[in-house]
Amino acid sequence: MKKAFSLAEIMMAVMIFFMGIVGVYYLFSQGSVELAKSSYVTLATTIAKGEVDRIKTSEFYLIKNENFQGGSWDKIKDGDSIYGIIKFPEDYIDRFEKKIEIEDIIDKRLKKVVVSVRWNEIVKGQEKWRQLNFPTFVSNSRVYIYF
Amino acid sequence: MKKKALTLVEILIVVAISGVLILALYSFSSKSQKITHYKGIKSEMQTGARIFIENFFIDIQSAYKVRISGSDLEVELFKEIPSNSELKYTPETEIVSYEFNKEDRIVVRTHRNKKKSFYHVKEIEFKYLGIQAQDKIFKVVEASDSGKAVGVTLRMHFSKKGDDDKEDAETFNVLTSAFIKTQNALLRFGTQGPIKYGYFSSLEDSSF
Repeated sequence: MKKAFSLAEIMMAVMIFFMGIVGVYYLFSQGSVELAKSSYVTLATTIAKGEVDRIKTSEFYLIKNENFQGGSWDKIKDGDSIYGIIKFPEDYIDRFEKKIEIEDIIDKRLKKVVVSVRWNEIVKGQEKWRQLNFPTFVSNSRVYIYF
Repeated sequence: MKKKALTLVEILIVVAISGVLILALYSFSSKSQKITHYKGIKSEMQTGARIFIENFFIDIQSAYKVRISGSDLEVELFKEIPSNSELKYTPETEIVSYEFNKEDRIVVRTHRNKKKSFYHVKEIEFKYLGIQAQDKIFKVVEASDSGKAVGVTLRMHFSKKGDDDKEDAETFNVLTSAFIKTQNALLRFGTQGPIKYGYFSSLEDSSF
């Protein structure tokens, strides 16, 4: 006669099945986390690109750390706005910090500008900083550079 | 030996446990369906925003003039890039337009009869950026009209139509700015100015 399943066997099967479901759920939730992370990268890029564009448009001799609060992290806070015109949306607030670093490469001719944007992310239950660096070179359009 | 069959109590326990698990499974499945749905929309919004911003930056940087009317933007671009020696007073230009359809939440970018649509845009706002010289430092401020504009700010709020009141619905906000890099704006900025074009006096002019 065919042996029937015992209660313990059925319970074990149910548990294994349940563990499988939990695994699938974990994968799904990781997908959402990754999507949130990529949205931070998109927003950080908008901040960095805007800053680089502003600096590159400025008069060459005014591109100095002291004119752009260079060297220190500046957090986007509630009420902050872009050039005092439009307030930052809540997606940016208390999440992103930006830093501008300006360095002379060739005196009065070439500068290196690095705009860094960093933000906090929860990785495996722990807060970790992620950072995007946006480096560029600005040349003095009035003085030719000979390499 | 005869195998002992399951008792009623044992079967009831198994049924109860299975019931709980099926309930959990159902809740998980409906939740994950929701997540997949909204994350899919968010991913669409993000991709749209990324492409939109790329287009916006290139268009503004190479603009000859920009015009904002309501939520629409019109960018006049040089057909050919003018050189310093061949800068025409009346350059040949072409138009790139960004038209916002609030009802359908679509922004359409049109350039040379090619249309590209960006979806789920609930709000879009463009503003002129101008400059003001203060203590020989140029400060970026809001410009009153197209003639004084040296750049444009862009704010976009993405939200799918019909999802406004839903708690789990995803939204996405973007705020950035781009500056015109062509001669006419650079002259106003002074970046090509002081020595070459004799614009040094403009540094003293706060209304410039």
